Amino acid sequence: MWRRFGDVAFAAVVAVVVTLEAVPLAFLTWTLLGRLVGASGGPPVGAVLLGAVTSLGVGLVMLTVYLLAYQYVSERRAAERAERRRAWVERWLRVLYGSAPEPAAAPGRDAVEALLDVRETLRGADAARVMALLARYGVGAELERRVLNGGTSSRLEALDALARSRIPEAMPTLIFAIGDPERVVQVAAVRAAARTLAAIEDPGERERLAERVVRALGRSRLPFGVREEVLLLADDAAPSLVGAVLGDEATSSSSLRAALDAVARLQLLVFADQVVGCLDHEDPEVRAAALRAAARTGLLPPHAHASVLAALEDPVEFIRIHATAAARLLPRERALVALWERLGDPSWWVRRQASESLAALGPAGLAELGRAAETHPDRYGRDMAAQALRDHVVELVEAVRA
Amino acid sequence: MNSLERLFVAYQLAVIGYFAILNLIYSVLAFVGLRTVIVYSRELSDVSLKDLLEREVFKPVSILVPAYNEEKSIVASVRSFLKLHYPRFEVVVVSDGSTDATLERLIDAFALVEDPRVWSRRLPTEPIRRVLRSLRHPNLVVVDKENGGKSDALNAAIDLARYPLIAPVDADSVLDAQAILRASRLFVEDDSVIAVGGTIRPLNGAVVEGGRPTELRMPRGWLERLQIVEYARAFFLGRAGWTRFGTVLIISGAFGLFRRDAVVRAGGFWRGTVGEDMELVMRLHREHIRAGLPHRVVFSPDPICWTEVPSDLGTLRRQRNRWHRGLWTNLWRHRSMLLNPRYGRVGMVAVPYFWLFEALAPVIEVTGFLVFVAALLLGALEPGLLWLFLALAVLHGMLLSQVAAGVEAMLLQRYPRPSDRVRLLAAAFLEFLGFHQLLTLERFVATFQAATGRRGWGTMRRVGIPG
Repeated sequence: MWRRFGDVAFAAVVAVVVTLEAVPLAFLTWTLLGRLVGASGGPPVGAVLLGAVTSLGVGLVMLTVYLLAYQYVSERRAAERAERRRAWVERWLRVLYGSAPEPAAAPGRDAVEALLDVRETLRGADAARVMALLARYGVGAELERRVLNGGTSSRLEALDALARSRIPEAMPTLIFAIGDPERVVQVAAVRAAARTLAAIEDPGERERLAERVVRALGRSRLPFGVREEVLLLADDAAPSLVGAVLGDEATSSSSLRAALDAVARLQLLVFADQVVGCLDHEDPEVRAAALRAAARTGLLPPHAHASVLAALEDPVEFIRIHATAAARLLPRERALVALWERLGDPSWWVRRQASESLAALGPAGLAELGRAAETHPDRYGRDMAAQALRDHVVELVEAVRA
Repeated sequence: MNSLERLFVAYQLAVIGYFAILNLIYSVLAFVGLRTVIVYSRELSDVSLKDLLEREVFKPVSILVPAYNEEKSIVASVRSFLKLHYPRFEVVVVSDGSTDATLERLIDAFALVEDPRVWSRRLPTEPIRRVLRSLRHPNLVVVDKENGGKSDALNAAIDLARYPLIAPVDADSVLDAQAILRASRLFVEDDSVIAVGGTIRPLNGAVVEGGRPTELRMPRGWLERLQIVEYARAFFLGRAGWTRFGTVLIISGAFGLFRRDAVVRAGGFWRGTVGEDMELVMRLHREHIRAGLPHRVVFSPDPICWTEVPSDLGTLRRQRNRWHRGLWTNLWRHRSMLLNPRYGRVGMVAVPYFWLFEALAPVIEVTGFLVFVAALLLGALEPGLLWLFLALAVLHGMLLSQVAAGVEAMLLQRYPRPSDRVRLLAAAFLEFLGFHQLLTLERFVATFQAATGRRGWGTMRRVGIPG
């Protein structure tokens, strides 16, 4: 959306121009104050004003000239860069597939960007050859140097390049950058770390690094959403990360929720026991995440039924909503009774979830919905059941049409 | 120095002091805004965005479209909303008692049928006549209700909305394909974010195909060109700057993203103002601070919404009059926040700024000008000085507009034709040679109309969105 070119120079020009404006203005204020308190001497107000106007005019001309030049240069430069990158992508592909020699000298910025573009599209042995090229030209080391020593914008650019290159050797630097004081850098670092972790094939090395990433996450104050995103970005390394989070006794509630949501989204059934263990967690957000995970994975062992039944009566609305979603996993008769009761819940969202859970139970659930639409003692429960039946018909029609 | 001269010098000093403080604030905002844009442009690459989209980390969004007599734009707008790149979203259009063919256009274009659904009535609204759903787009809901105003229509849409994030948008607006994606990721990256505002850019003159602006062109009228500069200054310098201090007070009604639960808890949109967007944000700040809840209202420079700006002077004046009356109503309603340390930077910096440099600015500018003229007539001021003062003020305004035009030039989707680029820079010069003063006068009038309790939107003439 933005051109990453000329912005810092523009900020410098603006700084000069604002100074050209501010200094005479300050002088003018000082002169007028002097006049007010009756001080004699000093330059006349008219001369100071004229100086301020002239100075501001000069600044404005400078800015306008810069902007006109920028329009012209940025347009041309963008086109040239795009052309150079395209040419480099073609050359790299010829290098990779044997019809062109590798460049002897370290390639420039456009060549590196093109190589990262190529890296992004390749997997397996081809990707390994790109990694070898990146290593040969010292790209990773240079990017790491920028992550450790650059300004904010330089660090962000380097972290983005590392995320695309997925160089395993850069992991220690990425893990270090998760502790950066700036939130935007932390987020970029943890994203790059997750992508890189996904590219590490050695299971032992992956586990070891996953534990280090989880420890760094634990020390950071990153929010739940970013933690969840990291677990999902890690692809094949996600079980290692989730295992490290769930296995860490000191893990924060935020990390725990993220791990439980990752279990649900990635269907990591191997962690079913840990999910059940969190159903009675003291933090309602964690309990809700565990209920969500159980509902989505469809795994609810008999010894967890009591926890779900208790959650259906929880005073916290969002716990009841997720418990109602998980209740369809209870034994059929028990589920029908529990969901019938929830159709009379004071919360609209719980009633809605109860109707959806009933609809998901198949013919028995639909029959129960039909009965509820006619005879449920709660008026809102009857309306909701009727609505769910109508929605179900619409879904069927749409499925048939599709 | 006689007493009249002394009084006049004191007044000069007060005006210059006001001007200097305003200048300082604008300069700080310009720098901070620039930094925000520079960091933002590197913060989220296309690769990251693709990753996020594929993993579906985002929360689903309900796009809320209040519409009153929008027959010219509504179909194109809704089409553009339905084409958004986002994993899970719905569009809830509310025809707020439209008396033109808004509803009929929607029924024809999207094959709407009646849907006797039940919904959560958390926010009271005028009666809803019927709810319709589309046979072609399962994620489109249209509500036909009795007229109750924009806030009432938005509250009805919130009641019907199913998803945790809501995005109120104007019915004459078009969203960038990635607008929701870029804005909603901020909710993922910070749990305390309750609202996100994006940039609004004028659509006039652009080539629109399939509900998207495919090429920007300068509109023919200077009135529209001047508004392009105005919008750039307001968003790229003003709001981009305020967001760094955590003191954003306005999220434009044309496009914003809110946490539904936060808005419902605050009571939805207030019907007593014509500036419902700002009022809601102020109330969200107030309620969250009072309850001790961590919260952030942020502006993000590139979720972009395109909107049709007025092309005739009458409509523009009515619009600015309404905005200024809304500003006064909101500031007055939340006057307890003014210089109240309980509200932190919002109460001590942002609210006083809006009182002094936004709401009172037209009064100070107009009276300042009149005093200068009076002083000139009474012989207390040399004519040369008056001209120099005016030149200083005008050049200062031009400078800020040029800086904003510079930020706009860094956008990938900018005006591509060199002649248009030159026209934009020319507009930045011309804005302060009459246009700004005209709108200041309108805002001056609006100040007194607000005091007398005038309400209403006035008639807005629209050309309509092509496509």
